[in-house]
Parts: sequence; C-alpha cells; structure tokens
Amino acid sequence: MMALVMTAPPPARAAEIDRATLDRARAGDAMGIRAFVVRYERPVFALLSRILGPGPHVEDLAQETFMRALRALPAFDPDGAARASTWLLTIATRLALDARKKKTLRLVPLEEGFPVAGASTPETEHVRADLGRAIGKAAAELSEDMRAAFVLADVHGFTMGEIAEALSIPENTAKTRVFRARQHMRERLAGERSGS
Amino acid sequence: MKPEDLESWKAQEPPPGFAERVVAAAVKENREDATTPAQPSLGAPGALASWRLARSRVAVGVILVGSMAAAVAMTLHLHNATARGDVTADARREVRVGSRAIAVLEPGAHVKWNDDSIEQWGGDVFWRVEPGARFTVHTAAADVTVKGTCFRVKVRGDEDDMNRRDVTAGVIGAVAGVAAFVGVYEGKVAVSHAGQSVDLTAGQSAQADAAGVHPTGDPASAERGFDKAQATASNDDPLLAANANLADSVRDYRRRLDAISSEKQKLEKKLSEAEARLGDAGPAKSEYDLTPADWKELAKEGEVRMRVPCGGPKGDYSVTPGDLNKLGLAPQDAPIIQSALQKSNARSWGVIRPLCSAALGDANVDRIGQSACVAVLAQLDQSQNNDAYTEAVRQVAEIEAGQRPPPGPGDSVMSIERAYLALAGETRNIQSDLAQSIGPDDARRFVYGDQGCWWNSSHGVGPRGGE
Repeated sequence: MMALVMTAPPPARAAEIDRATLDRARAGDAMGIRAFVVRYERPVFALLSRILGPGPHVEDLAQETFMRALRALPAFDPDGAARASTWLLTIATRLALDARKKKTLRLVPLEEGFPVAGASTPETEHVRADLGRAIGKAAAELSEDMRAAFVLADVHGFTMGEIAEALSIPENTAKTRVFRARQHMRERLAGERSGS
Repeated sequence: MKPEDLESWKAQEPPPGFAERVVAAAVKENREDATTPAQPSLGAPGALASWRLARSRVAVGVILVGSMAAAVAMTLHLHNATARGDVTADARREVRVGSRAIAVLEPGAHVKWNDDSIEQWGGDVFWRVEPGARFTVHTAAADVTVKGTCFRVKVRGDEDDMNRRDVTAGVIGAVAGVAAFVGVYEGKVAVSHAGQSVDLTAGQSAQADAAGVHPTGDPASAERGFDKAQATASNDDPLLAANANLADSVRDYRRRLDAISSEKQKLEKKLSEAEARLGDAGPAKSEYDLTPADWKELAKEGEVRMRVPCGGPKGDYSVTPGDLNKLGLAPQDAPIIQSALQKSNARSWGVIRPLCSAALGDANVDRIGQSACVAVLAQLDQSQNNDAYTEAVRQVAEIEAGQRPPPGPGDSVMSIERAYLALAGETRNIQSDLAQSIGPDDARRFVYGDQGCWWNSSHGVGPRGGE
C-alpha cells in the first residue's frame, strides 16, 4: 500500500516572514511579535513534537523557544546568512535536546499521538495514517541526536552546515548522522511495506 | 522518501491562543526587565552581552509601543482605515477598524463598526488600539473601554443577543446567557456592566456575564478556563440552560439594584470629596493614598490597592532632577528618595522572595522579580483554592482598615495574603521614611505623585455574600 520513493529531493522551505513585520517584532512591537509567532508556531511545534513526541511539554518548549528568540531578536541580523526560520528552529532543536538530556520530560512514544486529517477519501486516509504511524515508529528507534538531524534535513530542509550549527557538531558528523538516519528510515519503512 | 510522505507524519498543532500567550509573556517580561535588575541566565559564552543588548532594545520598544511610536506607527497604518464596516471572518483575518484599531478576528468572529463605535457580535477578537480618546467595544455581555492597548475579547452566545441589548448597556447590563472574556496584554481597559466598572491592566483578565464582571487573573489560564466552561455549558440540557438564564436574570436584576445603590454611594462620596477639594483648591487625592476609612470602604467591596516603587530604567530606583522638579522637590532630595525606595523594595522583597522560592522550588526568583512572583503566587493560590484566595484578599483590606489583626509569623495564611500585605503597606512605610528627611508634605507629594517608576495594582474580588 505504501509507495515510498527512496530518493530524497530537498523539501521545500517555508516562506519567511516579511522584512517589515520582522523589523516590528525586533523593535518589540506587540503586533509584530504576534505576527512572528503566528508565522513560525507551526514549524516549531512540528519540530519539537517530531523530535520529542507529542504532549504538553511541546507547548512549554515552544513558548520557551519563542521567549528566547524574542530576547535575542533585536540582535538577529535580517541581512545575515541565517534565515529567521533556521535561526528559530535551531533554538528549538537545542532546547529539545537539552530537555531530553536533562530527562525532565515525560514523553509519549512517537508512533502514538495524532489523528490524520485532511485526506480526501477513507482509503487514502487509511494509507496516510499507516504511513504516518510507520514513519513515527521508525523515527522513534533513532537516537534523539540522529532523529533531530533527520527532521532538520528532511522535514525542515536544513543544509548540512545549518544542521551542524544547530546541533553544535562538525559538518561531517552531521552528514554521517543524516545518512545513517535516512538509511535506517529506508530499511524500516521497506520492512514495513513488505510486511503490510 | 518524498517530502509529501513525511507530511503524513503528523505533528502537534499549536493550541488556540498560543501566540497571544507568548505576546503576553513577552510584554510582561519586557516590563519586568524595564523595572527589575535582571540576572542573565543564558549559558553560552557571549550570551550575556547579547542578552543585555536584547533586553535594552526590547524594553525600549515596549515603552514606545505604549507611547509615541505606537501613535506614529498606528497612524501610518490606519490613515486609510474604513470608517464603517461589518466583517464576519471565515478564517483568521486582520482588519482595520475605525480610525484607531486593528482587530485580528478568529474564524466565526463578527465585528461591526461606525468610526470608533464598535460592536463585537460574537467570536474571538484580538484588539490593538492606538492611544487616544475613549474607545469602546460593545458586546452583549459588557462594554470594554480602552486607552491604547492590546486585548482579547471573546463573546459566547447568540448574535441575536446583541439585538436584545442596548449598545450603551454598560449601564443596562448584560443579556442573560451571554458571556464575554476580556484579557489585557498591554495597557489598560475598563470592563463595564450594569453600572459596575472593573479596571484591568496588562496581565489581568475578567469575565462579564449576567452576574456581573469578575476579575479572573492571568489572561492565559483564565482564557482556557473560559473556553472550557463555555464548551461545557454549550453541551448542557436546553431546559437547564433556560432555567439558568431565568436565575441569571433574577440575579442580574438584584445586582443592578445593588450596583445602582452602590454607585450612588460612591458618587455621593466623590461629590463630597470634590467639594472639599474645591474648598482648599488642593491637588486631587491619589486613589492609592488610602486612609483607614478608605480601606474600610475597600474592605466592603473586597478590594486591595498596592503601589510600590519599581527600579526604573537603570534598575537602581534613582529619580531624576527633572522628575523632582515637576513635583516641586529639590534636586538634592534625589539620593534620600532613592535610598527610601531601595529600602522599600528590600522590605517587600524580603517577604515575597521566600514565598516565591517556596512556591517555585529552585527557580531563580531573583531573575523573575517581585511583580512576576506576586502574579505567580496569586495564580497558584487561586488555582488551589479560589474561595480561600478571595477571602485572603478581603482580609488584607480588613487588616489595612484596622478591622482585623495582621497574621502572626506562625499563622497559617495563604502566601498571597502575606505578599499583598507586604505591598499594601509600602506607601505608608515610604512616606514615613521620607517624612523624617524631607518633611511629610514633600513625602506625600512624591509617593502619590505621577513621577518616578511605580507599580500600581488593584485586585477586587467583590463583597462577601455577593453572587
């Protein structure tokens, strides 16, 4: 039922917030801050819940992510190399891994969690639900560091350099982690497909 | 693996109101940073410098939002605003409303306006209003009057309820069965209902319904409680709901009578005070300049008022010669006043800090600061036992009125009672301290004047036995 193509074209990166709104947020304007949060809240929640699994800790860490970002936003260079989304998701990644290392979280297994919505027919809904569960299950078997590298690369479209920066590791290590994570996902999902 | 395959790996969605909660936390933190010497806790090398930089810039930004920059920015955004409109949002939508407001409507929200006369017929709306003259959002449950602010209004009930209500119904009262939630993220608003008016400042919220206006504490948690209560109510038996509406109506009429009587007494008191002031032509008395008789009146209403100094832009409680000049005080009074304000902070923080530490465990309470600690203690005590919390607030007013002895060190009282007592007595303490050096008149002029950095707060829980 699952049609997985094992090549990995780079995922499309989300559009960035416009410069005028970003400048308002950087200046501490409440409406600008709100627009900044609304623009990036979904990717931040997605990243955190995929690295750590769903639960109330995701909202806590998302709020902490935005609070840290807002404190540092006046010093963020909009004309610099880093995109706002990359910079923000880097903060979220570090917070997620720190929280996991401190073992302060009670986590729900990654393969549990969310109903699948938005499918057009019951059959496609079923297929997508199966696929989503299979991906979650396979990802849950990865270490947190490797799963973070995989999510950043294949869900959020980070470059190897950006992953290295986010995880505070050399670029070659980032490449190795992404390669191994993809290999693991490929094997597990192929096994899942043959078993279904 | 194709990117679209990964889309089937579902992620957790942000809950409704998440962005507003972040804005509220950021605005609150910036306000704390602008008034409290924060201790940076970011661990990375170099973070200290960037944090200081960020803190100073963000703090300035927020101050400007409340004053000139907001006026300029909003004027630029609003000069082409539509004078009249009627919008029902089918998706989250930002609209310019009247000459001074931007509203972010959540799906289903319905807003009508004619210049600055605004009616919110239903749904959830986040408002941003340019400072200026009176600006009122009318709902079926209450009127929300603002002076330059960010706030959210949620209305639950049929849109027909708006037709049943006169839009001047801040005087007339709410339609039974309709409720409105108001959360304030910046600035100040007044929520009016049946002649009763409750002032809310940033970080506060209230619910208005047929029974009146009730302060509900922190906007984020109160909003969740409002949503939950409304969801439960909507599932109730229609007959029960109708009975509840009738009971609400009876209660509402009773409250209106009480409110009119209470309002009459207040107006008579204000009239006599105004006449007294006319007699000696002295300056208006501050609402925080409270005699034991004033406290007795507040105790009847279940209200406490507190005014304590904040650190100011430098965080050192210093006052400028310009501030002193405006109050008619001498520049050489500055170090004396600074010392008195620092002592005041040491006194109140000496009480509140251990309470906050006990409540938050090993959190860095010095970084959180006094006002945030008080908010946390209030929220914790409210969530643990709201009845005990309201009783604690009433008792603080009664203690200040001399109607009840203060609790002893070993007495079992809520943390918030000790915290409010520590704050409520500080204007008196500072006055007494300063009077020895600069005289009682100058001390009073400074403590209740409009210069320097002050944290004003009032909490009303209503009289005992009130519905």
